[in-house]
Amino acid sequence: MEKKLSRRDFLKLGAMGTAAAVVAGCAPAATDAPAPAATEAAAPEAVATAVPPKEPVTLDFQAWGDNADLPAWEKLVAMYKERNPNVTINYSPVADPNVNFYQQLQTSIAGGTPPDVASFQGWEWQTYADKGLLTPVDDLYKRDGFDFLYPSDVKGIVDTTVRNGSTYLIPLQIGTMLMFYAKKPFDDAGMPYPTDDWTFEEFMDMAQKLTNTSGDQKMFGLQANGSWFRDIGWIRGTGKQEFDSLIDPKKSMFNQPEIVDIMQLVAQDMIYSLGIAPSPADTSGGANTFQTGNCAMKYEGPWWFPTMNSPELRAEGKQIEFDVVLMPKMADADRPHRGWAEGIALLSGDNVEDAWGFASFMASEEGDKIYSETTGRVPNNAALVESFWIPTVQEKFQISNAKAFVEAFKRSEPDVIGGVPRSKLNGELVKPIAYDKLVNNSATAAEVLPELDVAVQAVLDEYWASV
Amino acid sequence: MAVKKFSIPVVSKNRLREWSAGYLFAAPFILGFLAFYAFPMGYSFWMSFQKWDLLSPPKFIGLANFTKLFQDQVANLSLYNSFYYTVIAVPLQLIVAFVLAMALTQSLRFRDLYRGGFYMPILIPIIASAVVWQRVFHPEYGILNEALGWFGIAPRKWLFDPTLTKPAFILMSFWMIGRMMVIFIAGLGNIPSSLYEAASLDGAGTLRKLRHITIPLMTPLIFYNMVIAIINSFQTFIPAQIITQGGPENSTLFVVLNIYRQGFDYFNMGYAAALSWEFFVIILGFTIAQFYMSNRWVFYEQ
Repeated sequence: MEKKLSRRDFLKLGAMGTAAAVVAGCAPAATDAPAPAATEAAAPEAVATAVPPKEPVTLDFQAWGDNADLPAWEKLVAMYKERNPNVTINYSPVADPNVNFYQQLQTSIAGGTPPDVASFQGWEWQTYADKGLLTPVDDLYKRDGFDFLYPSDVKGIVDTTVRNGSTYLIPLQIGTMLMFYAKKPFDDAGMPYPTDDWTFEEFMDMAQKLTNTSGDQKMFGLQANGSWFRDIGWIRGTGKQEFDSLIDPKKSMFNQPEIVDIMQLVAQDMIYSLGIAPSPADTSGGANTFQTGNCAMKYEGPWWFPTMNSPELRAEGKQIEFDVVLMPKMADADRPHRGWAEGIALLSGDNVEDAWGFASFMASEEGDKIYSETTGRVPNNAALVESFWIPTVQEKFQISNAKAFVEAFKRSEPDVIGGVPRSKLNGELVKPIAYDKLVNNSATAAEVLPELDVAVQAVLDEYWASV
Repeated sequence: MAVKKFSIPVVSKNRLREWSAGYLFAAPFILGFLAFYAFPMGYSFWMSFQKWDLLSPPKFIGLANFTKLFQDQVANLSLYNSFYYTVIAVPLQLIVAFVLAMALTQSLRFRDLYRGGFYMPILIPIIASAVVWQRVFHPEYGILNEALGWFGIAPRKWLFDPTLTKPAFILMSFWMIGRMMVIFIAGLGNIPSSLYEAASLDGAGTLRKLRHITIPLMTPLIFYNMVIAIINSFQTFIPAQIITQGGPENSTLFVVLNIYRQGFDYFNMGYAAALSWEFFVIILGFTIAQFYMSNRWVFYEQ
């Protein structure tokens, strides 16, 4: 007699088949079929790059996902792939990178799937280098003649790309910040624009004269930044600094009279007692800001250009006419400005040589030009800044004083660099202990900075005890 | 007296076959439970005894994380914030949802439209809701301050005043009472009308019927909604992360947000795991206490 399949057996087989399909679906995806052998990539004229690999290669690139950067990454990735058809680049931009980037990177490292190339800000990569997760690039620089970057004596570049004598960060841009001013408020008030040789007293006078919050349309002299690392520009202008050393600090020194005074002024008094800057409540939802035409000045960086005044905005009549000027002269005659490099680093792994091929292309004169032109950011190359960036931003964003960025960068110093990253210091300590209370007008700088010093010192001591 | 021999029960082949079939059908759930619940819980328990920043191997530190969390003022503040929010929001949510449910079981024109309207916010992604509420609470342009102005009340800095942020979040939580309301509506519909008729014959008015019939018979659903609401309230994260980032001055730093920050902003993974286990024990204790006390006030028909 024929053995029929019982309903129970049928259901059992069906369940086993479904389970097998689920397990198969969870298996890692098969890699693409190998591409045809790569042809020799044409090397850019001024720069030697690594010889492109011939075997099929897959590179993972975790990219900083600012809106300004996305089109630049896409262009660079597409261009590199066109010249190196055997290379597949898995490009992952991280949205809202100020909040998410390092979380995603560290999670991927912990999960055993680190990218081959990753974006880094100049003050965040040091912890990764200390733990052996990044590859130094000095030998690669020497081998491939990568020597046209910004002058090596610029402190902002050296401090944010080199650690313990080795270079880790390959700069794609140099960063510094200046005072942006909107022309319309000055024109409406009949006041002359600020100039590079202005003083702090002149700045305060201008801010107060420009402020008028009595009508329906409020105008504030300054849009305060409300965070420690943005106010570092003011702090260092006093001639003092918050640490005994800006590289691998051992001592916290926030509680100095000059720092107490300047933080009290810029973080609290400007908003509440002088009323020349909008409060966080005033600016919530994007209201009462520089972009809405309600603030005359703001301390910002070149990444801001495309959002203020671009050909597209001018076509719609929505541009803000603005220009830039050095931070006002304060007690420190050197007029230090914040300065740093940002770029990419190669994570330690099996693909270093191939990753270098891609990274060096992005940092080459050709690649960096594309990056700078698309994003408005200052390129990594002094010659490019003078010959290309300054004329480009003058034409594209209508800035006449772009050379102030170069001047600022020459006077630049880093925020703070070390085994305890700036983000940890700010997020865990400076913001909750000091800045939240200052910006919220619930404590004074004289009250919070001693407490802050104690807390920061404890973290520094813990770090140095573990080293 | 004969001594009872202990013997290992022999399972028949049929019984084994039945069991294997059962386990096979339950296998997807069992595997999923092990992979996505049991293993992560066990791993996080192990992690709570480590110091781990994701970049270097974990280092065993014993009970240091647990010692730290009892002394950590920020962690204690986050517990206070979560308790404050839960203790005030949940009873109010239950009352409002119950009253709404009672109103929407009456014979009203467009009743189904109202029911749909009150339920609809549940369907909106919570992130979108958070952004909308951020506009509602805007100190200058928000409609809440606009409405208060009609009654001569001065505008408030809802999300910028540490004393007002938690009440603002509690107000926001009423946006999502549709789920509770629907459950109450279902429960109200199951109360036999004969009970109300009998009560009417005995001369009971509306309030007495509510107190002696409706509420007692609804206690199982009130209890269910309360347990779920308490767990959900303790788990508040997205509105705090999106709207206030735990501020101002940590006034909306709830426990889950603090755990997230410790783990993914500050990379103190071991400490975050210890905080998670502390919170798990607290919620578990709360839930057990609720079940224990429910014997006194929840009436089941049986």
